[in-house]
Amino acid sequence: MVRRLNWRFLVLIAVLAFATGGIVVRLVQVQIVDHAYYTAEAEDEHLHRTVVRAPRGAILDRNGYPLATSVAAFDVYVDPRSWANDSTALAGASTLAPLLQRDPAELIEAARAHDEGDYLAAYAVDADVGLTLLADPPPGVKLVETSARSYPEGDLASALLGFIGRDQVGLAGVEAGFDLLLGGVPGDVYFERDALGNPIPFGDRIGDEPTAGGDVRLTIDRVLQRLVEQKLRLEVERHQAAGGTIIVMDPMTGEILAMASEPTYQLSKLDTSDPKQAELYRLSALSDVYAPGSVMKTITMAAAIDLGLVAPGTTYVDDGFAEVDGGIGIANWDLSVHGETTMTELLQFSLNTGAVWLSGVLGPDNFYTYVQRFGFEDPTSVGLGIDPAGLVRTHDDDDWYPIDLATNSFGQGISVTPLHMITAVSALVNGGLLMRPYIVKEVTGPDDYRRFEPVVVRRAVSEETSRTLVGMMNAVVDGSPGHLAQVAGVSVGGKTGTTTFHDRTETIASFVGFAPAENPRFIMLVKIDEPKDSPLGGVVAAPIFSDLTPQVLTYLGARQDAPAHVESNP
Amino acid sequence: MAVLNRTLDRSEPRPAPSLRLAPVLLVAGLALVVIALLQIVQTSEATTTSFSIQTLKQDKLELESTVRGLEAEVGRLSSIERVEREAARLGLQPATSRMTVNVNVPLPATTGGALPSRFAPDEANEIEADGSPWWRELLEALPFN
Repeated sequence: MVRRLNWRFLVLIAVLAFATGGIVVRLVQVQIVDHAYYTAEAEDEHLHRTVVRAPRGAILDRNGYPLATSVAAFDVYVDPRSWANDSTALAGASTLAPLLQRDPAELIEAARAHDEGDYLAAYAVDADVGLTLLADPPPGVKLVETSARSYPEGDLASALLGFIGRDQVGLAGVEAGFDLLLGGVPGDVYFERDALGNPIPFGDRIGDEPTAGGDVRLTIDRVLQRLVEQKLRLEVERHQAAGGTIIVMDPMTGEILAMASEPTYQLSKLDTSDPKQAELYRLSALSDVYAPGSVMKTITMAAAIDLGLVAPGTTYVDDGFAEVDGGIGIANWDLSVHGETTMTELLQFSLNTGAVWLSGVLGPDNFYTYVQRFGFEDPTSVGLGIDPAGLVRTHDDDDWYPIDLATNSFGQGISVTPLHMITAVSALVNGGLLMRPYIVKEVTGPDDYRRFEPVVVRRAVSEETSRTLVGMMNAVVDGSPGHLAQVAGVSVGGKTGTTTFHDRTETIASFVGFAPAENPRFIMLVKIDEPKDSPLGGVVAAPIFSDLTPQVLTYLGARQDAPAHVESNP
Repeated sequence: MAVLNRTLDRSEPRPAPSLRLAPVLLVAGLALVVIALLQIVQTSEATTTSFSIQTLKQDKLELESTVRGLEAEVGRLSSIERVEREAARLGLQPATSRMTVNVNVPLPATTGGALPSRFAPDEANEIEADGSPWWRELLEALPFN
């Protein structure tokens, strides 16, 4: 006989079935329907993502000496949740604070006040401190590997090297210009953490290892760089000038061997919150334009000679005054009168009237064609991103007047960067080729290597014109008794410049020179802004060239013009 | 309905062979213990390995940090400032005047004489340098090398 089920038993079965059904439904909902949501919640709770910065590449000088390199460092983080407990916080802070040179109470307060994520207690601490903490981490403390910049040569080439921010991104100079290469590729690491925020030893650790940054080798020579920086600092102070620039370049290749500007900042005293210092972050040798003054006469002369309009011996009559269309008069800088004057003498005496005469011989078409050929209207493409074109108003512009041609011919009313000027004069001494200036010699990445070779932008003038201008500029210095750019035992060439302003009495004193004249190993531009003692390029800038040239030539191993002191026996 | 073609055996049915519970439970229990132990051992091994990995990573970090520190130290030691400091310490001074001496005498002709003996290569090494060991050559000849 079949037993009849008791109604109580049926109720129990129904209740159990209902409960079981409910659990199953909930399980399906959590594990299948809302799976993605709960997985994300769990990951957010237990999985922690850390960006591991890649070791930053080094910046080297042309001979491989490091100018900026990276050393290991650690960012120290505190998990505010684990420090919510007083005993944990005290235990952690008592160990951590002395190492970070902070007050424990202040550290605890700062960590607890931090709302989101982990509190950054210290940025880029020394590797020794970091490794000590890593070996025995205080509760709630985490360390993330990073790197810090080290400058073996101290503050050498500070503005050129630039600096990086806390996020290891380059903010100025080469650090910014080549940030992608130097910075490498950061890694992503995920690890499971416990309730205190500490990594679980066998928790998941998925992610990409960081790829180290590549190295950048500059064309800069650290010895020459130090030489010009020290000299410039000294001379700016001596002349009580507002600032200055010295650039040394290889005229044959366009490699920049040294580049210094004052005022500048020091990497050892960097303060990114100081607005006054922020004004110095730019590379003024590359970015600041100025009217080149009488140095421009070499370009005007080169144009006229290249077109066969004049020769070194061609003469004109200098009566101390040149009248330009409209009756505007232009006098020589020293109000001198020289009468019949050769083209070489025009440069030697730096006659404005002569330059005006030449501009008339050339005409605006020819003059501005050569201005363009010498690259004044284009960026120099030096490769650091800060690269303005010169400010040139030509006869095609609406606001151009014939007086502009006259003033442009002696370097007024036209604005170029110091790099433009030295590059243009380089073309006069290297056989007539306008070279692209460059400051990075090679870059070495983890997977690639690139070497930068000299680039000829275009032929500016013929070889013969170049030879002629070398001779004329040699006559400007060595052929002028008492010229302050002369160097004993070395044939040099060059041209002075004195930029005047219509609205103030200050000047910019400059000189561009090269040595040895017969086979230039280097060309140098010296520019002193607003010297207080003398306004003239020949008095302020030329002697700087004269002082530096023997040292530069000795360092470059260039033979100086000296009679043999040891002769063979007959 | 089928008719059973046999006489009914009115004797008592033979009892089914009784399953001894104790041995079965013992075996099952042992199996559970072994499985649990295996799991514990496995987890313990994994945790130990993980700690070893962490320790090795720590060591690697320390070594990398040391290498970078040494690279920076090399840079500092070869810096111009240090060279100047050491030069000053040795009593050297920057040159105040320079003289260039041009030697207008041709280089002496090389006689092609033998090198001083201390520069001569070691004869024993010379034999070895003539060729690689046979096993190395074989290794290099292998396609997967």
